[in-house]
Amino acid sequence: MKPALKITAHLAVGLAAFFLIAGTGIWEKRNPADGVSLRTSEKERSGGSGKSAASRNTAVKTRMKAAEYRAAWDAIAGMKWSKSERLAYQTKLLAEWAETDLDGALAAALSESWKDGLMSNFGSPFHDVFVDRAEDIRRLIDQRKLGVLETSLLLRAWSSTLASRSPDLYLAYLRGLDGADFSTAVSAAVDSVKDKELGFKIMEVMAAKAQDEWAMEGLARALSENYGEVFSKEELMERLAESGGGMSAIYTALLAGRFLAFPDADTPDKVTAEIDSLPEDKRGLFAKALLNSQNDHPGIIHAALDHLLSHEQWQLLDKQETSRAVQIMRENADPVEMAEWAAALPPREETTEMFHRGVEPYIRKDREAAWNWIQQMDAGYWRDRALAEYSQVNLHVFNDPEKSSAAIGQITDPAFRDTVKGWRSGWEKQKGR
Amino acid sequence: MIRHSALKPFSYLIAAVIGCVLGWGWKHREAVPSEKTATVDPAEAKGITTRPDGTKLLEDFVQQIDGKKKEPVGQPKGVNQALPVSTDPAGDFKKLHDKYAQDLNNGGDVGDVSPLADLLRQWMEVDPKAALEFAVRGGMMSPVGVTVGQAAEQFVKAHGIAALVDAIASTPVIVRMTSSAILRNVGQRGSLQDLQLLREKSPVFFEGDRAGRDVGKEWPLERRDELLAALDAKSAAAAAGAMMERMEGSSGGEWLLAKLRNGEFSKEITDAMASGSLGTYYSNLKGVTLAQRLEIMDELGTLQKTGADRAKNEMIFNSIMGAFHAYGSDSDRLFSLRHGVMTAQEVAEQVAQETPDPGKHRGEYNSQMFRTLAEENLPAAMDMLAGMSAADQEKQKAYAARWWFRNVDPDDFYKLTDGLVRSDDASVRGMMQDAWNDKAGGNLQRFGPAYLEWIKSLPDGENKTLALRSVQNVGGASHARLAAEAGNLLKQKP
Repeated sequence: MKPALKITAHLAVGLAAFFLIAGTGIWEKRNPADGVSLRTSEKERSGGSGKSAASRNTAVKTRMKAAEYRAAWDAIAGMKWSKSERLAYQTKLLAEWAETDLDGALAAALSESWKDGLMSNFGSPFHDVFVDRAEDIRRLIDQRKLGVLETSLLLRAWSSTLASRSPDLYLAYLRGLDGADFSTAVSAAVDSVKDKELGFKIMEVMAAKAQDEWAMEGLARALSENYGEVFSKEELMERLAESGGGMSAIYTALLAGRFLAFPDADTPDKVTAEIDSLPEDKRGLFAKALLNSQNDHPGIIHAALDHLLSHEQWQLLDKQETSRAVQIMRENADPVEMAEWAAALPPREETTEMFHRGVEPYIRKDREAAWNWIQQMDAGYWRDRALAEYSQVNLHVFNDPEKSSAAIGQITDPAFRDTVKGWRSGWEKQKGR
Repeated sequence: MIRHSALKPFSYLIAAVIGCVLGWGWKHREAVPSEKTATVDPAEAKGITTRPDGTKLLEDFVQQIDGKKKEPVGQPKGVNQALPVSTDPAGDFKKLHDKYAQDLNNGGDVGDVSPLADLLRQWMEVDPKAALEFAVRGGMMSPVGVTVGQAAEQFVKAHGIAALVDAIASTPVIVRMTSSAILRNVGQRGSLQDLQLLREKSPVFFEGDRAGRDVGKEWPLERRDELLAALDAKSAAAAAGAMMERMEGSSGGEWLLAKLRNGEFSKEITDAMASGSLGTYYSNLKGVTLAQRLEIMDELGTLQKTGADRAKNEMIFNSIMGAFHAYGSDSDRLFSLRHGVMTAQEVAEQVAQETPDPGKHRGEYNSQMFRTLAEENLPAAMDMLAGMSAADQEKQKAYAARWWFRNVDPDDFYKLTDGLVRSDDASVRGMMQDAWNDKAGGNLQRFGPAYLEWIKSLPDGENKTLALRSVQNVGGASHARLAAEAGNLLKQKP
């Protein structure tokens, strides 16, 4: 081959290789969103509203530089617009700015008041960029560059946008999140999107993370509140039967959420019947989920608590949860009946807080009658506890140290008596005695 | 030869590799987001610090945005707002209605609906019942929903109430959608006759207190007693409240109170007042001072149950919040305060013009105003406390920490409380745990585990201890792991 031809041939091979590589995605770093293209459809970007790419791209032709966006942003306050005008222009400016300088636009939005209308819909200016530049957002979240709380807000808004506009992309990223970020991403999605198919897919991802306690933090409540009505009981029962560990708690919480979503589910009989309809080993978890829910119906709380107590499921009794439960139960209850209920509790560490909260209203309502009632109690753990509560109420409600002393003097367990004296010393210190 | 022929493909391979490397480099250059290059201002890169003219840039941006704004769907091309009389108003209305609905579905806004309302009115003149029944099918939020009131108002102006009553009488949904327009028209004309006609032919108008409220908003005030006498108790109670709000200054409150004191209202009317806005602190009412509101509640027998102190605090709270956030209010004073465009005094003075006179409760009013402004801009809001002793200023800040500063950036709350936890005043220090507890529930809900991460990043000290204890106290079962970790961190503290 002649040299010139040889050179041309080598050049041709080199150029062919150049265009092959430059023109295709070979050697591109693999997307963490396994198998899901980061290229999103126009429908996903526009939230399915059908707005065309052309309509968005023609919105603004002249782009500013990052510093110019910042300067324009800083000039907004001086324009003295009405609130609606200001929010509309801020949203548009941020949306455009984010395409040029994502970090700067996000930081600017987050520097505004977190009570402002802009922040109550923080994701709105960034919907497109959240989908288009998901990998950059993920990087920002990993780096915590915007600050811990700001990153949490970003993660929530991003998850919510992806879950509604591009569920597959959301799920792909979700699989790559762990710990607290995973928990935040799930709770944001279930707060904003109510979709059965997405819900089940999220729970499939959760099942793979069930051993990660941080990843599951707060999710039983989030799902129970948002997806209770989305699934049927049969669907949940079927999945509950196949699940174990952390997912059992999730499915029972969902069953509880579903049960509570129906307004007529407020009688103790219905609660008991619902508990009994579940497999025996899941009944306690279901009752616990009812206690742990936001519901504040005394009848439901009472029946759920009674189930746990009568089945001696002490490991499921959480001090704060049961304290809240008794406070709800006592709101409209007769104080004497409430005290009698408390005195009938098995004397254990797990039930002690319930006992205190149960007898307190009686002492507040009628000190003399309550004192006589305490005097008739058998000596022992509950009597000592009732005397301690009597002392506390007399100090903090009636400002009566003498009655407190009389009660403390009757406590038979010397170690506990010292403890109660310690409680009293807190009151004395506060009063300067 | 062997060496030569073996080398030949090797040299091509080298050329291919070089091509690949260059191609990758080109690709990589492409992959650098174009916006990244845009973020570097050459002037900035050279160390030139001339700041861009933000106002000019913003004005240009707004012009670009507004210049390209989509034509409002309320002014579709080819539709003249002053429509000629249609020969087929029903058909024309349906056609135009479909266009509006389509535009609305495509993300436009409703805009001016008067052409649609005009066609609906023309149709109503031919067959009011059919027109209204079609119109209300889509509900209030459909494009036609918002035209019904307008069309009904035009129709009533032209033909009077009687011509419409039969068409709407038995259809509650139509009544709901047209009643405000119709009743305000009756009020404007002060027509007892029309009121009587409506009561006879369409009693559904008078379910609830809507009728009294709407008529009372327009009825001639000098004939107010005639109106009250013509209405049922619930409507009369609402009409009295609506007319009270229209009177000059606080004379409305005085008028109502005098009637209550003199027993001029029947028990049915005072009962209706007690269960409506006059008997509670929920609504903001114009034309009535705080002292008058409290006395009205007392006269109606509802003050004791609520508690005077609570009622007073809530009324002040609602009035201040109403001035900043009421539906329809578009002022942006908190934003202006945050960015130093308005001072705290300027904001407070403007709001005072829009809120009832707090009278002897000005101290509570000023305190709540300070708390509200402090959430946006604490240093600016401190101007409101000028003249107070340092101890009193601390107390005001403590109140803000205890009951305000919900849903704000927790960093702002931390800055507010950091000095307070070291206060010499035990009552101020004593409020701080409750203040942290008050924020913990909402912040755990909003930020999840990041909230504890943030607390862990705070400087060691009393404020951090209170913050950890609040998570331990409030985390409960919904954030059990966070509560437990906060507890463990507290145990580790020396």
